[in-house]
Amino acid sequence: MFYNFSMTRENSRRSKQRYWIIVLSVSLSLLYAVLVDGFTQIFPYINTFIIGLFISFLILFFEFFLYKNYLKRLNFILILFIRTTYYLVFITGFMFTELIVARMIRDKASFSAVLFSPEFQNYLANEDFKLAIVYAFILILTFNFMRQMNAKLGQGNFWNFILGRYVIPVNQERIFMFLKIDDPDEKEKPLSDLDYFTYFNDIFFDITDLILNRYGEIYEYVDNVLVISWPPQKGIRNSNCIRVFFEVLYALKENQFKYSEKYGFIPEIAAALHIGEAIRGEIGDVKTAIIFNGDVLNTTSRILEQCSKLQKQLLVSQILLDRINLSNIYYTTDLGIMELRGKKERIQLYSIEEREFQHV
Amino acid sequence: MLIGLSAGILYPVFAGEAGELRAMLNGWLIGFLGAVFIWIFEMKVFNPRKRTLSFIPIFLIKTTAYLIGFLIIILSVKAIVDSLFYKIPLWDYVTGDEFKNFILKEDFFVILSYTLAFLAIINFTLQMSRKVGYDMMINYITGKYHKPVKEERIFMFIDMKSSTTIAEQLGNLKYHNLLNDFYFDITKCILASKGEIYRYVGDEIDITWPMKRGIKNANCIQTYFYTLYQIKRRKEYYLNNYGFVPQFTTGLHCGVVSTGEIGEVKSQVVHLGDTIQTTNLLKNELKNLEKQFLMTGEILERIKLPKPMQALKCGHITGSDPKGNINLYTLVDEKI
Repeated sequence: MFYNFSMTRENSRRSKQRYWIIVLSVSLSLLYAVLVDGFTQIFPYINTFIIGLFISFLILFFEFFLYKNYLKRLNFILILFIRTTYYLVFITGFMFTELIVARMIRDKASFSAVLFSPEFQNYLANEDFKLAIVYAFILILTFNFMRQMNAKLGQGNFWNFILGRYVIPVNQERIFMFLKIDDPDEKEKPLSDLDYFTYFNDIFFDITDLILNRYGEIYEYVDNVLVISWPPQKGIRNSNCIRVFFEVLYALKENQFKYSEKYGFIPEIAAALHIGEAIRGEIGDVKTAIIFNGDVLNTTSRILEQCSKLQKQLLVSQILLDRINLSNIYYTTDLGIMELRGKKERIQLYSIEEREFQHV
Repeated sequence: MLIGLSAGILYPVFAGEAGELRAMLNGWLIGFLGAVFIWIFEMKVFNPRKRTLSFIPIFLIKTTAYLIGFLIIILSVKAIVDSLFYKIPLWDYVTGDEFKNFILKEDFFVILSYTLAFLAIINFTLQMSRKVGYDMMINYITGKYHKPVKEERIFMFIDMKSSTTIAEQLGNLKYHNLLNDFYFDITKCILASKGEIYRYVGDEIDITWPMKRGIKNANCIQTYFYTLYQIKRRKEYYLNNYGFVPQFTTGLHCGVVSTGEIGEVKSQVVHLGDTIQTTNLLKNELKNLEKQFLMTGEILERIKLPKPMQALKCGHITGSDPKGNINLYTLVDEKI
């Protein structure tokens, strides 16, 4: 039907994340062993190493396999609750069996013998085991809370606030994409206000992962326009900022039946890409926002206006295109030097489309 | 402040170990004094003007200041209560052996580390919820708008005049600082009149109230006047730093909107509906009618105006509203 784009998609960001999770949880649990038992014995290290490894697989299984749409769309507290209980139950359960198995190997005893041995019973009755569970619970809860808060605030903004990175505004070169999604108000049968939310959320939940995979940072939602930004190298490398558009396009086509059934039409998208310098800084005392301020944002939104005028899906300014090493599955059309509304300077625009491939 | 007070009340649970009357009394006294101390510190010493520091310095300064404050409170309460209890003169007790023992004992360090952990958590949540917006933090966590709802709200925007020319004159960086200063000043006024900051859109700040809260004491109109005087009061600062005093226009409207959360990452709570569109129409009318303040009939009929104020009809807009035209009013001072 459609050229399967996902074949060329390499999920480098995700696989990197996987390694990080494994390394982090193993080293954290080793750290725990150091803090609790010191360097005297080897036995606790093997224990905690295995526990850390298991925990990292638990995380991978949940976050990459179970955490799909139906779970994502529950509310904050429910997700936090599910996550925390999931981790707590499995981790304590595993710790319990792992401790028994380790002792089975050490003492060459049977399962029940270890379970009812005075040493193990002592260990359970001892404060140590309860302390370990409390320690795990607090760690899991804080970790997940921070993680979810971070997602709510936008990638990394939680840490940006804490570290105060943008208290003093900085000048940054950024790539901006304005991604326009069909406004249901302009359709024959407008949606009710409440359906409007589900419509946009359906789309955003379908495409957010694709954007994150391409290192895009979601900046804001302005009515039916989604503003995404990249640091220049990340956006240019691998033509990430252009690829993401086509991936979103295919994701929406993939789900076209869902949309047409639910809303009576298939959402179309258009986007404008531009690069330039903007001031990035915290603004406001309460409900602080980290905002971009600069002419590049206005220009990009003006380029987006040209999309509907020229009947093109993706428009790119020349300054950005010059810096991208475009893959040959795309072709560009020179649209000439354009005048933009309310702008003195004129800008050279290109449209980008994908080549049609013959199926073998 | 509520958090501070409840923490003070919770404190005895940790500190009042044995249920012994003396220990409980100590705990309660310490908790109460601590809460008062935090309250005074927050209100008087650490007012928003000085909050241009970044997160970690504020966090460290506050936590150490609170810790020192609590240390003094704990020690003095302990000394006073015990000296009364044992009927020894205060000075003798403080220099005596038992007090020295108390400080050097492990128990004291346990109490101290509990206090530190507690203060750190309180400060962290307080600061974070200030960043995110108090109402927002609660909305996110409780998922109040996770499913969109219809509700009645008041909307107001404060829009800086001729911001494009200002931006060109000042350059991006200075313009950003100007906006930030302007928003800091307005925020004070919004909080004083119980408003919620909805969002910052370029040079404009959008404020919203749930219907009841905004109408009470004419809160929404108060915000406008607070802001007016706040900017006047800080005239000199703006003149010295930017060479002019920012002027602004304000529109006020109310009605039914649908409110919901949008987006998976960087979720935003968004208000939608005709009310929003009408509010936006006010921006054009402000320009056409050359007024600084406009409010619609919808809101005027619900509000009891503060005494010297009078509403003056000055136009109407034809909205998509089935009711037809919406009347526009501006406010005038009766005395003038």
